[in-house]
Amino acid sequence: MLKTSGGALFANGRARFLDEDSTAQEGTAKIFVKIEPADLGFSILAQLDTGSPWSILRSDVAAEIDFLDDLDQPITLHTRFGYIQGQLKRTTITILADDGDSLNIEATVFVSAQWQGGNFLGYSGLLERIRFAVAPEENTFYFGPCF
Amino acid sequence: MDLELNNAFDQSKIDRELPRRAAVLARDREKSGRFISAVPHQPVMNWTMSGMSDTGITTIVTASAVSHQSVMDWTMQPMSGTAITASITASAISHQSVMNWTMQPMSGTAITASAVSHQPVMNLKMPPMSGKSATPIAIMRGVLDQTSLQIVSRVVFQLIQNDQIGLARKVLNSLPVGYSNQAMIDKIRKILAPPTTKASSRRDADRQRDYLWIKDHAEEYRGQWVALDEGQLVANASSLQELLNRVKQLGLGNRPLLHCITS
Repeated sequence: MLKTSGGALFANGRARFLDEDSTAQEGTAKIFVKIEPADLGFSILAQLDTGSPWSILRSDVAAEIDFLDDLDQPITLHTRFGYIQGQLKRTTITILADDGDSLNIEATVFVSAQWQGGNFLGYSGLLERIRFAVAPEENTFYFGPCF
Repeated sequence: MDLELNNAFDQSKIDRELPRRAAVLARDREKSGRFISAVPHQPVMNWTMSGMSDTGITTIVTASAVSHQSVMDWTMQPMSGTAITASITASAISHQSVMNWTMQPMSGTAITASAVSHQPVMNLKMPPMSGKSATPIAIMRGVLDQTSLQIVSRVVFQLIQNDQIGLARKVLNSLPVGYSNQAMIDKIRKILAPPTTKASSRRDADRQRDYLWIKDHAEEYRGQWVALDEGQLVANASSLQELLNRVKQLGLGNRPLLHCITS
């Protein structure tokens, strides 16, 4: 799929990504990849955001998979919408491949009923253990496990 | 205790306190030549070094909260060192969280108060003492009680809130092995554990045509959830729950891509 200069496998899955949210107020290009949160049963799009400390699920997605409970320690994170209280949850997020292997990630995500934004894949608890590369000329996202 | 900690964790207090603390430390260093290392790259809260007198020729006071640490409520009360060389080293030490560590008045030569590496130190008080070459070393192994664990968990969550995930993991890893079975700590460990991955042979359809649909029709469906397959709108709804109900009723052969158009 995608190999290092030494011939080792770098990524064994790839998927086309959506590169814009045409209705977003600020119109810069983004990378939206396909994911499936455990128990949702359908694929949705999440924005790749290496600058985000945690991955975040939309509040309605979190509600659908019963994550908006009060069972875990509340935590307040600073987000683009200000300080938001929520919880960190451990769950499986699958990055879906069009070609090669998809990747099941036992990840930590932030969920909050107060969150008004979309789905984000952040660094801690998710991206920190996967390899990924982007081919912008063909809108392809390469990914694989970090060994 | 809890009230004090709550105060200590107050973000606005931290934001207010850190610059002030840094200024005080810088001033003290300039005035006295004392080496006071308040920890680069670390949150330091309520760390107080009260007035100290030293009549010796060379007094080296090193209060080193040390790198890679959170230090809260660390107080060094007035101390006097009358020896020619009084070297007082209060070292909270590397890879540790230190909370509510109080050193009461003391005098002596070469006093080394070391709060021990690789351990969280909480509520350690060193009573008045004097002596030459006294080295009180507070080893906290095995004395962490439930309250202490609650404090650790609070510290960890405070670090998480400050986006210091690596440090939060270090604090957890510094706990004695015997506490790894504590449910509360286990829960935090699980949340903070680095992600694990497993390849899956499962594949999704190429969604390029669905992406094109989103680009072409997003304006028409602002604020709506849409279900797309092969570049076609399968269903739309004002909520995810409603959309899921509709899609399930349709009994489609392929699983559609679900997407919420920004309102």
